[in-house]
This record gives sequence, structure tokens and C-alpha cells, in this order.
Amino acid sequence: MIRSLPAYNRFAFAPRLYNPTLLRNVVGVLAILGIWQGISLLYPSYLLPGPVEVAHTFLRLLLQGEIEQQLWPTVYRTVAGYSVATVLGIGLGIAMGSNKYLLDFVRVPVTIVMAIPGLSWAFLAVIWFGLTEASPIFVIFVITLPIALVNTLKGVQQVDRRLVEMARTHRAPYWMIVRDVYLPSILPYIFSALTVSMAFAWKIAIVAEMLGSSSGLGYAMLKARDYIKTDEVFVWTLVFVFLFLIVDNGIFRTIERMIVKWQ
Amino acid sequence: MAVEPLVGLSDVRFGYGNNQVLDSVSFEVGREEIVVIVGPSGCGKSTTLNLVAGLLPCQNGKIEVGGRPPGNPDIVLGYMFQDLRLLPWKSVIDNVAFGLAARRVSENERLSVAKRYIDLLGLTGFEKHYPNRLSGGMQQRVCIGRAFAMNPDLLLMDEPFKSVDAQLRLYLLELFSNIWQRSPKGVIFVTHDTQEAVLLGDRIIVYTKRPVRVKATFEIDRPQSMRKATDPDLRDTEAQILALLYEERAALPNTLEDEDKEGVQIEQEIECHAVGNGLSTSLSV
Ligand SMILES: Nc1ncnc2c1ncn2[C@@H]1O[C@H](COP(=O)(O)OP(=O)(O)OP(=O)(O)O)[C@@H](O)[C@H]1O
Ligand SMILES: [Mg+2]
Repeated sequence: MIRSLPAYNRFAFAPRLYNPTLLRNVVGVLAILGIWQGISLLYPSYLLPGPVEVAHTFLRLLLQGEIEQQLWPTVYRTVAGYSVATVLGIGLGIAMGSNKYLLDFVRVPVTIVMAIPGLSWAFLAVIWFGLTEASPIFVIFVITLPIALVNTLKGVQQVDRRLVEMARTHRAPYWMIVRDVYLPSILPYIFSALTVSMAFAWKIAIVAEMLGSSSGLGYAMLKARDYIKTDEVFVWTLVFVFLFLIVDNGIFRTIERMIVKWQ
Repeated sequence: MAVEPLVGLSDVRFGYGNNQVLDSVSFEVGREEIVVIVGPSGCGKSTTLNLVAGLLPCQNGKIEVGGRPPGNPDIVLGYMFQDLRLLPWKSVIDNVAFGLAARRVSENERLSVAKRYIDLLGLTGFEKHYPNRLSGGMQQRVCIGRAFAMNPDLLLMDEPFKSVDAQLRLYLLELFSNIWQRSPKGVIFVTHDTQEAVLLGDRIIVYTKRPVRVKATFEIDRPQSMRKATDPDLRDTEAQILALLYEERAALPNTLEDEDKEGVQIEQEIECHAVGNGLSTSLSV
């Protein structure tokens, strides 16, 4: 006679298919989409397009090549401004952290630059550079540089002097102290320098493109608004959000987990 | 030719700002000698080791290591810090091998040496673990391993066996003693444990409280292998050291009797309050 299996065994073969956390996450997203769709029925489409309509528009723009066309300029400008700014910012942060005089000179200017609103930079960039590639790249650069710098500086300042002393008493050569003491303890900070600057770079890129550019996600969003194509505003926003999540969660978090495994 | 000592301190003074720590400290450590320092907590034992290691500048007097100022590159130095100072991002085996790596020993060799000490110290199986996953006593043993593995000429040990259980402590003492006998080196060993002191020390230096002078020095001639914790004369020495340390103990807050009086006073005050309250209530009624 075949006895029935105990109830808990029925799902034992599929622990990954039945994942309550994931399930709840999905339900949460679906609920938001449902509410959005529901509310959108109450208002005209130019005020609040529903998710279905937005998906339609997304597909249309994707097939027309419009998304690709506007996405790449933004990616290119962000990456350009960001990479120059982070390389410089990290370099300066290390220099300031290891040289007190330099720190004294640069501290006040950096603090002031950090307090300037991104929009001010965007206006100034248009005045200085007009509608050129240089304009958004410049804004991204000035916004991310101090962020990368300050994070790196914090990293250098928190290096444990006692570990450096330990290495010195063991007569470790200088390159070894850098490799085995300074770098590993600064690395997590450099990482947060990279991720935090990246987040700011994307967001400011959109603003900079609205004011000083004739292509890119920001520009496309502005144009869509001018023609009251609210569904397109939603699409551009979503494109931006996906881009942001892919870079931040996908790429950065993975690399970070790979590097900082001792914690 | 007189044998030149490995380490020599003469009339060393040292202070952190206004805090005069060492008043006048002089002693020598031979090339194959274990010098134990005992003294009240916070007197300046770690400071002494840091001076010998060259981590603090000698302000007054003279310190020589191998006939030159501290930091002499000819003398291989192993220092087991009181606060351990393991590299959190390196595995146990890489931490133990760190001193060897600093001396450019080839990777194969330093890993095999490190492995040997890991086994001796009872850390087998934890080679690939990171320090913050280990217990305090295990971290301490990793540190001991790092200092031993270098086979240093001069070994500085700051309370190396402090957070391990009694049995492990005896085992580590014996292990230390064996390793030392196989390749004797100059050792300065700081401890609070008088038994450790008499079992290991060729010379035991008792510090006064701050500002530090050398209060007393004990020489023990008997070779380590022939010492037992139960030997009457070792116990006698231990008792003497304890008596000296007792003289240097921190003054108790002046004293428990006063506190008792205070207590009584407070009680009386409370009583007064109670009476006062009673009066006021009776008045208001
Ligand atoms: N880096 C420092 N800066 C200022 N003062 C210090 C520093 N290190 C130690 N001191 C002071 O020097 C004195 C001696 O400290 P030290 O660490 O040498 O004592 P110790 O004998 O090793 O004590 P313990 O047995 O508790 O380890 C203490 O009064 C301490 O406050
Ligand atoms: Mg100490």
C-alpha cells in the first residue's frame, strides 16, 4: 500500500520555485501596477497614463530605435564625466589624506563646491559652453568629483595606524604596506566613492541634458513634456530607472561582494 | 671580548606630554636571554616595548638594539602586540606568514612554515578563516604564530597568553619554552602572571608604578627545562615578586570606611526627608 508523503515533502523538490520572499516582492509590484492602472482609469491619459499604455509606448519607442538613440548619448556623457571625475577625485582624496598641508589648502574650496546646487552648475554650463557635449559632461564632472574625493579621503583617514606600525616593525617594504595595509582598508571607501558618485552622475546627467543639450534622456523627457506626451515622460523615466538599477545593483554590488569578502 | 647585549636601555625616560611614564629605566637583554617585565597596570610596560621596537622616539637616555638605535635592520624583530593587530582582510595562514613575506621569503616556504606553526598552536583547519571569525584566544594564537614564524633575533611579547584558559596557557608556555630552547633568542616578555614570570624568565624586572623605575631584578639561573611551578624556591621568588607588586598597587579610593560613613549620611538624609514629608503631609491635612 502506498502511503501518502508527508505534506512538507511535497515542496521539497522545488525550494527555489517556492520562495516566499520573492513571492511577496512580486505581489508588491503587481499591487502597485494594479493601483496605478486603477487610478489611471479615472483621469485623462495626458495626466496619468496607465501601465498598459506606457508599456505600449515603450515598445513603440524601442522598435523605432528612439530609446537607443537617446540612451547612448546619456550613457556616454555620464561615463565620460564620471570616469574623469572619479579618477581625479580618488587621486586627490588619497593625496589629501596623506598630506596634511594639502588637506588644509583644499578643504574649504571643496566644501564650498559641494554646497553649490546641481542646477546652478547646469545653468552656468549652458552659459559657458552652450548646447555642446561639453556642457552636460562638465556638470557631471563637477558634481561627482567632490563626492568621490570626500569618500576616498574618509577612507584614507580611517586607516588604522596601528596596523601600519605592525607592518613597519616587521620591516615590510613600503610597497607591501601599501598593498597589504593601505589598499585593503581604503578599498571599501573607494567603492562607496564609486557607487555614490555614479548615482549622482546619472541623476545630474538628466538635469544637465534638459538645460544644455539636444539629445539624451533628459532632452527626450523635456521634449515629451513640451508636447504633453505624458506616456513618453513615463517611458523615459522608466528607462532611466532600469539603467540606474542595472548599473548600481547589478554591476557595482557584484564587484563589491567579490572584493570585500573578508567582512 | 665582552659579549655585547642584544638590547640595552640606559637611564631611559619617556613621557606622553605631561604624563611622565618612564622615569629612569635601565636593563639589558642578552642574545639568548628571556627578560620578563612585571609591573602594575598602566605603568609603562607596553611603552617600553614600543620604545625598543622603535615605534616611539627615545626622548632621553639611550636605547640600543644590536649596538645601534632601535629600528636596526640587522636584527630581525618579532613583536606580539598587546592589541594583536592582525590584518582583518588576510586569512589566518597569510597573517602568520606576514612577517616572512615582509622578509621576501618565497611563497612556498613561508606557507609551509606558517602551516607548521598553525598546527603547533592548535589552529589546524582554520588556515583559510579570517581573524574576525575567530575567538579572542584563537586570534591571540595567530599572533603568537606570526611572531614565532619569523624566527626573530629579538622577540617582544606583550601579555601573549592573557585570554586563554588555564590548560591552554600551560600548553602555550611549554610550547614557547620548547621553541625557545630549540632556537634561543633574546626575548622581552611582559606579563601579569608571576608564575609565567618565574617559569620563563632568566631575569625578572619589577616596575614601580608611574613614573617607572626598576624596583627590583630577580635572576633565575636554573635552565627552563628543569623548572617546575611547584619548586619551593620558584614559589618563594613568586611570593617576593607579588609582595613587591602589592606595594605598587593602585591606591584604593580613600577608603571603604569613608564610603560607609557617606552611606550612613545619605541614609540619615533620607530619614530627614521622610520626616519632613511626614510633617508637611500632616500640616496639609
Ligand atoms: N598612545 C598614547 N598616548 C598617550 N598616552 C599613552 C599612550 N599609550 C599609553 N599612554 C599612557 O602611558 C601610560 C603607560 O601605558 P602602557 O600602555 O605602557 O601601560 P602598560 O604597563 O602596558 O599597562 P597594561 O599592563 O595595562 O597593559 C598610561 O598612563 C597610558 O595612559
Ligand atoms: Mg600594556
